[in-house]
Amino acid sequence: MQLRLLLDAALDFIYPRIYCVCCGERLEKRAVHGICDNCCEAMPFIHDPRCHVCGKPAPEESETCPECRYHNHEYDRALAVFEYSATIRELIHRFKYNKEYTLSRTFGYFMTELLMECGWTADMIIPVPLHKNRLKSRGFNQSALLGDYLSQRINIPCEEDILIRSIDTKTQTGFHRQDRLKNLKNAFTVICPEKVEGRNILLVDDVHTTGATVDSCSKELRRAGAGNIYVITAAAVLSDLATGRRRQ
Amino acid sequence: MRGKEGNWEIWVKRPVLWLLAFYAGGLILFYRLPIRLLYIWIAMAAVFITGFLINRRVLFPVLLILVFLFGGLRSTIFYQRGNPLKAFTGQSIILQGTVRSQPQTEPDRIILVLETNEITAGENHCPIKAKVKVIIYPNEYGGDFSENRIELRTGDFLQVSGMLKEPSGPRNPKGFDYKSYLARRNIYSTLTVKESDVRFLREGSSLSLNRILAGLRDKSAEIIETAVRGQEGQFLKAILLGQRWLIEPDVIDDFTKTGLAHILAISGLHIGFLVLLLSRLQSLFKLNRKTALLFQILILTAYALMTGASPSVTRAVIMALIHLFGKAMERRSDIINSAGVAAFLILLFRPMDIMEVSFQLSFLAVVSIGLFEEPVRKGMDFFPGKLIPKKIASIIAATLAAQAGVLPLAAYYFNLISPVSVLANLLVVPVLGIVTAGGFLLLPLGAVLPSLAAVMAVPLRSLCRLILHAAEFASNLPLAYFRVVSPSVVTIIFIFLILWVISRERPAFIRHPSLACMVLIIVFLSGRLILGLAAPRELKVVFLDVGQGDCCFIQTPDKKNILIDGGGQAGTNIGENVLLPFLLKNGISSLDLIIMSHNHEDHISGLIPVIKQLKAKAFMQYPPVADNPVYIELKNAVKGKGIPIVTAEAGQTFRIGENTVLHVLYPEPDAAQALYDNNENNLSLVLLLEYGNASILFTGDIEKGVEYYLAGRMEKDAYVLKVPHHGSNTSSTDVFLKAVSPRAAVIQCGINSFGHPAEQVLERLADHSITVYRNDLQGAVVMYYREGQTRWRVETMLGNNE
Repeated sequence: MQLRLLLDAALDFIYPRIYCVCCGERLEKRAVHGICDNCCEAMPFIHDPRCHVCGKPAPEESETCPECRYHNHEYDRALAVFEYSATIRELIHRFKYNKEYTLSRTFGYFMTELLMECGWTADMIIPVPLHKNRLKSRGFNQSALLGDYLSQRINIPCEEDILIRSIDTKTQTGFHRQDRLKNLKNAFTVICPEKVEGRNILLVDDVHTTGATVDSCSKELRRAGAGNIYVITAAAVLSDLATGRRRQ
Repeated sequence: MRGKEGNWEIWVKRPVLWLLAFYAGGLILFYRLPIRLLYIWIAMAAVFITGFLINRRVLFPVLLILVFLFGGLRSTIFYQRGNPLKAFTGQSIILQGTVRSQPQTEPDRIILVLETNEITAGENHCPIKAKVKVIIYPNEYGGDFSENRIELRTGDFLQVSGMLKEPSGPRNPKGFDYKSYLARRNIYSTLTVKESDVRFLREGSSLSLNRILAGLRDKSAEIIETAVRGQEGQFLKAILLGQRWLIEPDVIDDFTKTGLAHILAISGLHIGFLVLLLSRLQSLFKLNRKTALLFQILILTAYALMTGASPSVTRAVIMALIHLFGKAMERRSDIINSAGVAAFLILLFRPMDIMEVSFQLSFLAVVSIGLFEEPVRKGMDFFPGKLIPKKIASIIAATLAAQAGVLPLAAYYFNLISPVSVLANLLVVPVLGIVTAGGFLLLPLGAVLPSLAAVMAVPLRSLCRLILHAAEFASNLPLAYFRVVSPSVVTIIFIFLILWVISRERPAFIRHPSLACMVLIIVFLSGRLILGLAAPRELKVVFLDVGQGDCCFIQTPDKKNILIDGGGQAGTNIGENVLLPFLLKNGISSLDLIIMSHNHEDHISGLIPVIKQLKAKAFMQYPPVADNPVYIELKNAVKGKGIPIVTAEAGQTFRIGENTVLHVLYPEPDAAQALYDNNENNLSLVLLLEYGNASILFTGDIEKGVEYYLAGRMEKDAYVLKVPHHGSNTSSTDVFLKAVSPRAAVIQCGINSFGHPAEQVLERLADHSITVYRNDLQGAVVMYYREGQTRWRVETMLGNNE
């Protein structure tokens, strides 16, 4: 993964990132994340108040959202930068399927900003893994790219070989919460539990939908004796309830 | 958690441009700097070691310094490399070697670059590898090549025998530096031979890449030849295969004057049309993207190599490849950054290309298109109701934008400004698109189905003719172009700074571009004023090297410009090629006085273009007795421009500038009538120029009789004598030399069949211990005199005081 990012940085010499990743217009100087001021303003950032657990918008500060009250999450806390709107969906699609891995920098940049605000302390970054078949067909793991970026920026090692996906599950898209959980049952395995024991872990993924994936991962990590488990994602899908409240 | 900015965070920046700027800076600043290579190596090592011991944050600045020094290193290595064949210069030698260039086959000569394997001088066989420029002429002067001549191709192995020469540097101030031009191509010697001196030894290996490309090129040329005949065919070969030498000089002239010269050299426009054609073909044949990309890369690279990889083709192909590759990688290419990458790559392999006019023009054009095309195009949207269609708007915008960058350089190198170029490009560029696309299609078609190609060639030919006519038409329009003096390098730099400041890529710290522009202009003007005041006040006399003929330019301390004669030779246009460029490149666009010594062609024909194209305040002559066609043309030009004619006569004195006077010593009408002897030479004006203690005697072509007449009447000595009649033995008599008793003499002669300068004259000058300067050996002779000094300062262009 490091190599890929290096190659990407090398390509930047020939193809400088001077166009907005959304609209293609020339970027303002200092817009190091690759999104122009106009697009940045229109970006669906998730603002406070957030749910203390899942990080999605909540009625008031430090309060858990209705959803988290019904379903317990395996992780301790989660945060997401963007609401999974049409714009973000398109960007993430380009990132995952069009191999525009430079988008990892755009997302990574905002994720770093968010991390710096919240003041978590973690010992290692673990990206949500892909099954090796999927990795082969896609060529890269988008979560690992984000993890790498974060690792570079916040100086915490990114460990990709601790948690693996041992079962090639079906894609989660289109499933409901219960099905998602079922689909993911025992999908993840911690290879070397001694490395996570007693450590605080930052899980990284692209999208937080119902939290089933990260919950599954957290469960395995917990079983291996991990300490606090934090989750950071680029985007979060808001349930109707939450969005309804947000849009009042 | 705390975040840190990674070093590899390089968004919104174009690091390549920094690298390029520092590398090019090194190349330019170290050019001709007498510094030892070792010192540069030491400096590089020092920077390298210290740079990597300190904080890694300064990695990039360290890299920049290293790149700068590396540029300096390349420049110095180039500059210090001498002629490997110096020992053989001026000797009759036999060369054996391989043809390395595409032979330029013109009707009356063939030019090629030979890389030698072995040199034989007398009994000596030396295995030296060096490049030599070989020019082959037909056996008979002015004749044709023999019919069974072998077509020379790249890679052929030849033996050539002849006299090895070193090319000369600029022969006139700011003239064309042939020596450096060839040196940049690693060529330090030339060999001019007759066809019979060339022996074909063997063909090159048919497997080499060069050979295959040469074969492809020759085949393409053949296809074009059979399909499109005549001038249109030559034009097509020039724009498709880079064989620009096939186009006649006056056609090139039309294109240059109308700002269309870029069409004759393969460049971005042609490559752009080729890429467009390839992508159309790709969708036609439904190729998948990767295969198509591979094909495009192969075709473009082969094409660049085939056409000789000139800077403009290389630039265009590299930029096209970056663009295509980017498409495959989902990356958007940026025109300025791509240009920077292309420039950096080209300069890495051929560092001295930075001094090439074509390199500079090509990159400036593309960068200013990158900077200004979009704003200009958007600016045109303001015309009411979509007055200008989109396609046309983009052509206009691109032309205007390119002009911004090219204009200062066109003025500097060609002394031209062409307002007509926007119109001309608007007419020609769309047609050129069809012609290039058609031409590229014609090549494979002609190889497979010659009959179909012949049919296709008919409209193609008419379109070529249309372009040629358009260029001619545009160049004949009123105000199509005008001549300007070369701006100084500092002026050009200021113009580019201003362009940079008003572009959107200006440095971030400039908030108010108009304010910054004002500051720049004020700095520039005040700088000029100060430099102007500080400039030395001196008399400057330039005896130009116009080949066989007289021409002398005088600038008085208060910057009055006087021209005495203009040279001229049948067959070459000295006025257009030597005199006019000399004046314009040295910043002179108007003359206070033009003097004709007498009406012979070798003194006046060069004056005609000067009078037609520059301003002149007065024309001085002594009325000739016999007319000749050149003089009639000159007279008409003078009348046509309404320049007052001053008739000079012995006894007159003209104040031509501050403390500078011109005494007319001859002709005195009665004496002239007696001494005429049916020879206009004897009516030559004899003028004594005086400035303080300095004096020069101009004698035209006077012969013995006039010399004897004058010898008795010389009141003063002259410090410098322009030797009469190019050093002919019919002049420069002992009596005259004694009467004038000059300290220095200038002989204005070139290659000639009259035996000028005569041995006897040289002996007589030596007997009187007169220092002799000769245009034929030393190029132009430039003399300076500052008031109060006792001696003249003399510079000769070629330096060698033989």
